[in-house]
Amino acid sequence: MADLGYLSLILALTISIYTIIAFVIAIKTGNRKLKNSAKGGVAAICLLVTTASFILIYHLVASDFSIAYVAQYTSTDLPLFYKFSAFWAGNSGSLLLWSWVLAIYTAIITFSKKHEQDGKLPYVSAILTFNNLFFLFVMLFFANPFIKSVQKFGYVPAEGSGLNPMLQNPGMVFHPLTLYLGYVGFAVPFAFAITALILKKVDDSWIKVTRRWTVIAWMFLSLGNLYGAQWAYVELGWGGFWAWDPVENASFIPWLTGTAFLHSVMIQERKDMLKIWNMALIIVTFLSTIFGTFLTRSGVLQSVHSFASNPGLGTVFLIFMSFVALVSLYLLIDRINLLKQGNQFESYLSKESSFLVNNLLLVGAAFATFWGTIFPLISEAVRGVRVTVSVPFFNQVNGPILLAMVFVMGICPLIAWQRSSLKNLRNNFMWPLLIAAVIGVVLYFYLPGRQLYGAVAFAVCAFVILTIVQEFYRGTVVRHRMTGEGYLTALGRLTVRNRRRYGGYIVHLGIVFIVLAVIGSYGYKLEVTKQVKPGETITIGDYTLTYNGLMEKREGANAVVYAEMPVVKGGKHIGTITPEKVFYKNWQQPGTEVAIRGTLAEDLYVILATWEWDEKTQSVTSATFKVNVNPLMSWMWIGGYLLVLGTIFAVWPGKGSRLGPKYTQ
Amino acid sequence: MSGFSLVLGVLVVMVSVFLVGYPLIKDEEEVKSLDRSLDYDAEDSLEKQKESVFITLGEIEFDYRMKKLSKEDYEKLKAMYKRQAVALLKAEEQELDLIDDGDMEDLEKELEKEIEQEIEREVQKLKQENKGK
Repeated sequence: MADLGYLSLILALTISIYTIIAFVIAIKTGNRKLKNSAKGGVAAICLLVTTASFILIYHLVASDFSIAYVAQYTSTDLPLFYKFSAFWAGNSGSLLLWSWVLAIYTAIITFSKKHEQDGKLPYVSAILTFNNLFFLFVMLFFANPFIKSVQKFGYVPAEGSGLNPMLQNPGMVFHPLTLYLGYVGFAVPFAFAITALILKKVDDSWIKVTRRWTVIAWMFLSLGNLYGAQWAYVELGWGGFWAWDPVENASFIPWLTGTAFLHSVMIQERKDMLKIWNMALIIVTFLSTIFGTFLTRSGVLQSVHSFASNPGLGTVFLIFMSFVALVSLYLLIDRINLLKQGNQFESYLSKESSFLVNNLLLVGAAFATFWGTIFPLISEAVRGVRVTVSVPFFNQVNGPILLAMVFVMGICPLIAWQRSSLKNLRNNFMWPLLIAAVIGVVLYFYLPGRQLYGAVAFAVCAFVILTIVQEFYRGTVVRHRMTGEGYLTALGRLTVRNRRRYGGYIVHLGIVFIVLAVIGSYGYKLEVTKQVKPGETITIGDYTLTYNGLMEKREGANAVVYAEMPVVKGGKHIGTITPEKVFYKNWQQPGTEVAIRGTLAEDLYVILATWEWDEKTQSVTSATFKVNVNPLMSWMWIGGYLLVLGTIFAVWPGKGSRLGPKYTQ
Repeated sequence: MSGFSLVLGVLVVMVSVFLVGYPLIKDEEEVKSLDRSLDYDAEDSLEKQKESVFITLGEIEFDYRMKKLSKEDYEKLKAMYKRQAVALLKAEEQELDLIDDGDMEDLEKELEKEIEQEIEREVQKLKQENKGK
């Protein structure tokens, strides 16, 4: 079967080349037969890559160790769920997943009824197919998922190496999948943007057509980042969820530029402005998705999230990125006069101005993150010394930028398009601003450490929440007055009939919840590392944990060492917490299973770090625990769900999600 | 390669070849009926422009009532988009060849009135819908 998988990929590569050529000739000559044949090529590529993917899944599930990839990432005792997820655990499998998702997206676009008579279709399909051609080429020449064990290791192993225990976590199953759905999703608006440049039709039609693709890609990218954060939080056992690791940054950069794009296209759509900016943003976003996958595979930067390094692969990615960047830049410069046409800003006090500020902040944060990520490489190239940029740089630079962005997020909804006045601003801002200021002052005195930065950050979040609530409230009241509907009916109809706007507010609310968790867990975290003997206690904040010794048990093939620690809070027993260390049969490094007792207010987070073994008595004398109290962490996950809910609500088909008004001058 | 793999392989290759090759030998007329044009012009129709202006008017109205727009700005913007709506309606009428150049001014007034009535009708409709429930 593996041979068939390989053959499918070769055939897919061949048909990709044919499809691109056929589309180009069809565009030049208007040959409809050739165009339809190329469309058939897109379907064939999708079929072939799907076949290859199912074949790899089949071998993974069947534990066929004659395939090197299966032997490297699975073992016979691996649960079925993780055998399946091993599909994207390694370099070549994840490339196949990328290609598969791209092939499906390309087929959806190519055969969409909406684009049936659209002259842009051959261009878009050809660009997407070219993108997939690259991934097929990389797989076949640098990372073949179907390579035999005999070819790679010289023998067929009786048992596989198993999946890295750190990847045996539901978060890590969904993290790459959602991330890829997001990464690949941005290829669609990019293809439409490049088509618009080629055809010199740079109006907002490409934005309208790709709006749903962009929003959904953004949602998956957000989810991918959140799943990654959740995995790091529960699986890596260092007490946090985000370490500004190069690979984490690589997925955060397209999220930032993608978020900026998502907002700035609204200005083009409604006001016929920012055309150059939007083109540049989608090009940068697409390139940064490729940059992300380049970082994880090239080995140029060290990361816990990287695949095994493959410099050859890195070079190919670099060539592809450079090619895409050069072609895009050429088109952008060549069409600059067309892109310059359009409206101008009429007032500094307008929704579009606030969107622009929001854009500048997002792009600023993206640049700072990019700079910090590649600085070690630059310093090495220039001075011969690799200077590492660590967490404080990213926190100090991005913290204020992102907080300002959250503040602007609160302002945007309260300003009208085109123009606004100071009086109106006062009308809309006074109460949220006053209440938020009071909350900030109260929190400054109430919370430990009297942290000004923390109090200001909480006040900003409160301001945004209040403006969102005010938007829902005022909208409901206005609709009630206009129609005489009951308040609940008015609220329901107001939101359902303006899904883009109110879905957006729900997403904003989700983002604020995530920011609250970031502020709480970064600024107000309590941390204790203590070595204790049986009977001794660890006290942190209001919590007291008692250590009663270590125990051992077996879970399948693995040995588990754990401690059952009764937890007392404010003098009351609230339960038992069980941090573990797992020793795997197929893996040298033991894994840390963090014990978390979470509430809406905070997480009690306990790690069994190490223990002392006495050779004389052949017993454990003491154990070392790292205990954290991470405030507001649950809000990160709640915010994530809200973000998904708001996005789905905003893009749900129907009248309420149709395109918005168009403002002119 | 096992027998099953061989059969599956042949099937996949055949389907792929069919997908790519069949449109090339397919009858031209049939192809045309499936795909009428490579040069489809996706410019917004007059109808879409009209709809867009009405949505904009609706949003301006709503923003004013939510106190996001001052009375002065509201009236200025409303007048501007009403003029656009009138122009679009006129263009639509002209497309239908129903207009005499001499009656332009009358028609303009009539259309403005029509727009006001349309907004009023929408509000009334919403009120009645609600009473009926």
